[in-house]
Amino acid sequence: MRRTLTIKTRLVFTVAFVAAMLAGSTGIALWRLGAVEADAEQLAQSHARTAANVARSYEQAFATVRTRISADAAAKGDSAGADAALPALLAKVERQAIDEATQYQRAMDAGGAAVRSDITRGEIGIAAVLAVSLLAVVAVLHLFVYGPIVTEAASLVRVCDAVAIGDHTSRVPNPSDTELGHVARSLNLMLDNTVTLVQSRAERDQMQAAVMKLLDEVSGVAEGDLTVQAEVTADVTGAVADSFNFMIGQLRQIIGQVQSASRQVSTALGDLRDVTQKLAGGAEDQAAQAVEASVAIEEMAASIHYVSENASSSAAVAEQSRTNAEHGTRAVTRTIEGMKAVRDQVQETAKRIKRLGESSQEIAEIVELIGDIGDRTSILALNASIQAAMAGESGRGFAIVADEVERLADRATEATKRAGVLVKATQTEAAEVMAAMEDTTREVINRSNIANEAGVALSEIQTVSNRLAELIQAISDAAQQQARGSEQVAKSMTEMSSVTRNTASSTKQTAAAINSLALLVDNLNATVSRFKLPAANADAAEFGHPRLVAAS
Amino acid sequence: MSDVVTLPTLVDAVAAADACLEGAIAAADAAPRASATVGERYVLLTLAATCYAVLEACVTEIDRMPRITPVPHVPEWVRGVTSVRGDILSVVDLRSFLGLDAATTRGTRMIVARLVSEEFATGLLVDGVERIVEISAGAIGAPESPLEGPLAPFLNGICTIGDRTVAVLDLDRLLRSPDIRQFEERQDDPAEGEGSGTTSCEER
Repeated sequence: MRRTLTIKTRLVFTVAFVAAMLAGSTGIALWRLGAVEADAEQLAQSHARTAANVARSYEQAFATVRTRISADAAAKGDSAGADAALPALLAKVERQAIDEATQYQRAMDAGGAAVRSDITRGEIGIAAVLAVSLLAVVAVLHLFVYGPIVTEAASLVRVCDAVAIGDHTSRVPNPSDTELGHVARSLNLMLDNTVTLVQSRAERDQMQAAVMKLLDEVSGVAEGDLTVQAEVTADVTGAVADSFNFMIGQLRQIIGQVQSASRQVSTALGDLRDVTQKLAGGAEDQAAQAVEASVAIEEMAASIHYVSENASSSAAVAEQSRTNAEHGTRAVTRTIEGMKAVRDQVQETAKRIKRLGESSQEIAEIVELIGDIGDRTSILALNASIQAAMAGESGRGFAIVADEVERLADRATEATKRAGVLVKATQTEAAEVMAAMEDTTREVINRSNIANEAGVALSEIQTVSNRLAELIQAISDAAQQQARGSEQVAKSMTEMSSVTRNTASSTKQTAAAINSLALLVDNLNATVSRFKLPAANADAAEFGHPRLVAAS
Repeated sequence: MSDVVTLPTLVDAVAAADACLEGAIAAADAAPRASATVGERYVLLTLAATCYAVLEACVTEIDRMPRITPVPHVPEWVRGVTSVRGDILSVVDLRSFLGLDAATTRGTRMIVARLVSEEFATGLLVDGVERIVEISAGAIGAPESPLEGPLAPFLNGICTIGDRTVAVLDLDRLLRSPDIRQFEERQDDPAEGEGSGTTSCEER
């Protein structure tokens, strides 16, 4: 229902709704004003009643007071003078109170009348404002809504109707800056574009011819000819041709790489085949060498066993050597002791000979003394003879004695000379013997030192022999260890031999696989070679630097 | 060494010497019986490897090399003066006198030669004194060839003792020679009776 309402209808409805709302509001305001008026009336009446009641109350109160005062005055009697002034005062107060109540009552009446007249003026003002507002609303709607919007919408409708009947030249005149104006501009732009989009028949024919030419040019690609090159023109197919050329270039590159890779795989397969054959041959050689190695290891084990036996013999020899060295050491010790004894004896002998030399020196002195005595005796004998001669005949006997004495002295001198010679010879010999003894002592000391060195050397030999025995024992142990190790190695060699055989058979299988792979690669080559490539492009592909070749 | 002589040998020699001495004493006891001697007694002395014989009568004493006090202003062969039993003697080195080097050895002896008649004594140094021998006058002969040297004027001749040739030296003549006498303090009597030294000696 809402979709069928036009803008005009909606505006009328809106105005009516606003007028109703305003009238309602005004009615409610008037009703409330009436209520206020009634309340004000009641309030004024109630105040008037109150004022009348107050006035009566005042009168009753004053009457009561006067009665009391009269009663009191009668009761007392003697205070008549004072009482004469009191009723006058009371009457004065009474009058003032009644006047005030009356004035209050009048004021209340005047206020109620003023309120009533004010409310009446308000009602009239409200009605006037209502009428003016309605008029203003209608005027504003007509001026700012109905006029521009409905007019512009009507022009839009006109243009659309014109386009609907094929008039593409119709446009909305002077579109405003309102929302409908934007719609109108968009409509105008749309109509302009639509006019541009409409093509002529000649253009369509030209495009079709260009497309057919392009198809002719590129039809060889389907048969694998990648040498074709689409002509890049300025028309719409130019971009397609350029893209096609780029695609063909990429394809050339890919195919070239595939061919190159295929050739490389072929070559690599050939190498692989050679390598596999070598590997197979190597595995057989290795198996043979493993057998040889097993034999060699057995020989080695035998020789190690031989070494072990020899080591045992060597240990015995080393032990014998050590024992001999011990014997030698003991012998050297005894020799040294003997040498020491010899040296002591030689020194003792030397001492004795020295004493002998000293004794012979004394003997020499004694002999010299005897010689001297002989000499003197001889002189004495000569002098005695002379004196005897001087005595003449009586001294003749004494002369004979003197002669005998002289002869004796000569003999003594002779004997002392010989003795002196002998003593000198003895002394010389003693000195020589002393020298010889010293030489002997030195020699003995030298020999002792040599013997000491020999003893040291023998003890070193002993130590070395011990060490040698230990080493030989170690060698023997190591040889046994080696023997065990060589058995293990022989076992390992056997296992290695079987592994090598497995390797050989696996290598043969590998060779077969390589052969089938070679067949596959040949197929691939045949497939890829159906693509024709320009020579330069093939080279470029070989080098792995593909580039687009411009059409010549 | 062939002649191994030890102390016992020496003892034997001394014993033998004792025996000899006893024999000598015995011989001396028997000496007066055999007193008939024919020759003169000479003292044999050696000088420069030559053996000389001097008459025993001219020799008063034989002594070892004494202590000599040198004297100035004398010929080289005068060694000096010495004291023998209180007498002051001049000492003549005969080796130096012969023109030989003065060589004093252990065997050097001083012969105190004295001319009793003139109371003149002097010491003569010789190489050695061997012994006293008797030489008969007939045994002394003239030499075959004329003798030479400083001592030649004082030689009486030569004789042979054993296998040695001995020159007989006339000490008397030597002591009276002017060379010796020029240093004699007491030259109271001049040289007289040359060649009769033997006689003068025998006069004592």
